[in-house]
Amino acid sequence: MSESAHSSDPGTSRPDGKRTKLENPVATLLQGLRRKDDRSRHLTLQKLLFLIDRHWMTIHLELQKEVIDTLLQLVTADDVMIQNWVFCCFAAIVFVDSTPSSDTSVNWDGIWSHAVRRTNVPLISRTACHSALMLLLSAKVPQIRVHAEIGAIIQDINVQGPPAPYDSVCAFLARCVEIAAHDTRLYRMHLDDKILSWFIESWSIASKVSRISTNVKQSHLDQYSLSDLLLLLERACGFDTGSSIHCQIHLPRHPLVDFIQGQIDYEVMREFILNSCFSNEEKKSGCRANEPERKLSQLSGELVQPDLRVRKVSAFLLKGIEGILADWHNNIDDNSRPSTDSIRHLLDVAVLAICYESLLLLNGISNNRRAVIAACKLISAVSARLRDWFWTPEELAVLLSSLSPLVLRDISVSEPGKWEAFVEPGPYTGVRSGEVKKKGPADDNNQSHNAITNGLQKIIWQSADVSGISSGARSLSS
Amino acid sequence: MNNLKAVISLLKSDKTKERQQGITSLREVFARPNVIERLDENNDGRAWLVVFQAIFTTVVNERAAVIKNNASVAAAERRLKEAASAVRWLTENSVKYWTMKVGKALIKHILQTMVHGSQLLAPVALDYIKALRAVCSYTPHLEHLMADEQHWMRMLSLAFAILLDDDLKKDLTDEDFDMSEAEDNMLASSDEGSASKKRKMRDGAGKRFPRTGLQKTASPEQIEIIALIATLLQPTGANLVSSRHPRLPSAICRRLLRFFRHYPTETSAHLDAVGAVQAILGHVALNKREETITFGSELWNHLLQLWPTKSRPLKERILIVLKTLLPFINHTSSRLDRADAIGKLLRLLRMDHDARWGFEELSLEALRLEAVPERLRGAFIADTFRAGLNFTANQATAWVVLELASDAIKEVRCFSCV
Repeated sequence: MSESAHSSDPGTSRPDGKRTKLENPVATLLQGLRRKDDRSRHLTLQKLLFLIDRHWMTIHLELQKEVIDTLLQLVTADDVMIQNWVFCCFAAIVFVDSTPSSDTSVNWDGIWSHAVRRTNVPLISRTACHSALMLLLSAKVPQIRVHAEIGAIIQDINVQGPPAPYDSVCAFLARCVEIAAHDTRLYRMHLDDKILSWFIESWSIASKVSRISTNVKQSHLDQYSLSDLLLLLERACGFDTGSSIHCQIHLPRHPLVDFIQGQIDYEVMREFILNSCFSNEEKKSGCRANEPERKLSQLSGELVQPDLRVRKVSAFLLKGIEGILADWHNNIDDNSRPSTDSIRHLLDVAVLAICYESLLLLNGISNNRRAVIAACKLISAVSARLRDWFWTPEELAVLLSSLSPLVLRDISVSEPGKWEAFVEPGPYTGVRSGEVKKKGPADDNNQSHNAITNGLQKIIWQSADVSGISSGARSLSS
Repeated sequence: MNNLKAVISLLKSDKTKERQQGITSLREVFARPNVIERLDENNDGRAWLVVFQAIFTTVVNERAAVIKNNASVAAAERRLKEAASAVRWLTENSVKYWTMKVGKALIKHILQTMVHGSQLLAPVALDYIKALRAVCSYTPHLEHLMADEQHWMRMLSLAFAILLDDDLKKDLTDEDFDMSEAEDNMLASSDEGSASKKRKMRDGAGKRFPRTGLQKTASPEQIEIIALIATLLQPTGANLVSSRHPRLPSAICRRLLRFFRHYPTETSAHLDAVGAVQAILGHVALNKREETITFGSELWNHLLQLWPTKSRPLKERILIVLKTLLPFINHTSSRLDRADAIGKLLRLLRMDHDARWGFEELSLEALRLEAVPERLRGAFIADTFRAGLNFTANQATAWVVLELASDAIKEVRCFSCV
């Protein structure tokens, strides 16, 4: 195959006639995957995943098909880790692949069946739901199949469903509910009720906080954020106006992170210096066009009474919070500091309740003020005690960022450090912005997202109870 | 204060015994932190200047005795070493308390004293290099220094000359181009076996001075000096790429390359050496394309050779440099055999799978799986997954390694298609 490590000097180049006989590195990767005795296959899969994400379009069609076939063979492997990464690869392929769905040479159906069958297997459900969601978003599987299988999974979700409301699980179930709303047969199955019961069962507030753990090793947060939970709730309850709350994720402080940020900031310059071109930032993908248009619906003056689903969720949240408050003082041991994740979980529950109840108002439904009051009380109680313990800056950042849905406005603004190739028309450029064609739907989508977030936050902070906690939180952050 | 005056007069005396006493008393007096803090209450540096100049007198006297080279030279060397050590000790403890006026005088003295003719003066070298590092490690002083081009260039030139066992009078900017390029080519085309031949050709002088060149391991002086170089090259402030010194960046790059050629296997100096490479790339990567491509092409294999190291910090720095250089060595004007070079990288990454001291692997628990909306782009965000709530620094490292591997695979694919 290739030459030994002691090859020729770096300075000299080879004459073209004697070009090294190269092995196709992707083929090498795939070969590595087929060998059953290799214990590091999941690492190879990770490399494949990054390759798919960054450079799928540079791989020619036959090789793409070979990759998909190899992955299909691997998906039945015994090792759970391998299955997980295989599903991640599938999700990435589906997202990036822009071949029309009429092209039947790729076995999307096969991928769909594997994914759907594993959405309730405990260790794999997260990634299986992720691939299934991508397939739904890109509409590569015929509708009839989709409807049949969705009905089947969600029917039994309370008996054997996904173990927890992970990020991809929530997104997948939310999408299923959306699809069900458009099909009579599925609609009659009342899948939304079943999903809500499953959610209430699987996201057990009480068990997490009944013993506030004092394990102070590295904080291990759950793999979902409030935006996922809220998305599921709003779809299952059938709200017209969804939310788009921002949950902040911090990157660790490390020279490598700064370096990568620098690389992204200067990417435009590097491209130009090396390749004399400006890269086209519009990437085509199979899934993107399907992000639904969000509009702030106009409300009439009166508030509607909440229906059974809404009342169920409100009651669940209220009960959880009141349970925590009742046991709060008993559960806190004065001598040892509680762990970051348990405190964070408490704050998450409270913030979720506030967001949910405010979302009801946004949709013209009257809300349960008791829940809001209880949530605010919980936040105040926690903030009051937080100053008794010592937190490192990283831990404090984690705790405070749980409040970010209440205050963060817009994180989609392009990063301040990033260099752009062209300046937008405006007052400094001499080109009137009205004379240049508008960028397109992406910009409008951006604006409507922000409008909705602003709308929700307005409602949140208009409530007297919520404004009351802000003074407590302010003293905490000082 | 009387104490201090006494010490100063002792230091300045002509008698060796008194000078020795002066050094001892100096250490006693300044052992108390509040003395150091309160010495210069006017904050104009004059008090420190007086103290330092007294010690400088001592050093100069001892140095003269050493250079005279008469019978008692061994004792004189010992005294000189003690004096230099006192300078270093005082500098390290008081660096935050004096102004740059003192710093400049100190640096001037160090640069003059450390060098004798065209060689390094052994008894003082290590202590004085450490003293220089102490000055430069305090950012305000470093920034002042970078503004003073003459001193800064002199320090950098001297540092490189010490590192590479060159003539210490050589300056970075007045290059003798033909000679050094011929040297480089000679070094490139022969392997380590003929190192001794070259040593005979280049080395001249005396036996008293440290032999640092062309040995297998770096000397303590070299380890300290490369750390100094890395500090001096930091991107903040220093204007390396300017029209006043058009050849400066390539001179620096060439010298760093020579270091890696002389010491192909890992030593304690390599961590800072790669740090220096990172620093210089910060200056030239976006400003001088051809320089970067040449530099990267020559350096690539050396970096790969260092990759299987057990030291995490070194590996992380090499990772950063490799990731910076990958797009450059892929450029068509690179003279590197690209397919081979990148193939080697891929093989090394593959070998890391089984190594016990490789990086931690990327874990699904640290990732957030979602269809990332188009408006959200940034560091550690891919199309269908991104950094999640448990994303630690180790996970970030794993991510960058995977990015590097996938980019490398893509580049090799482009060749094998042809």
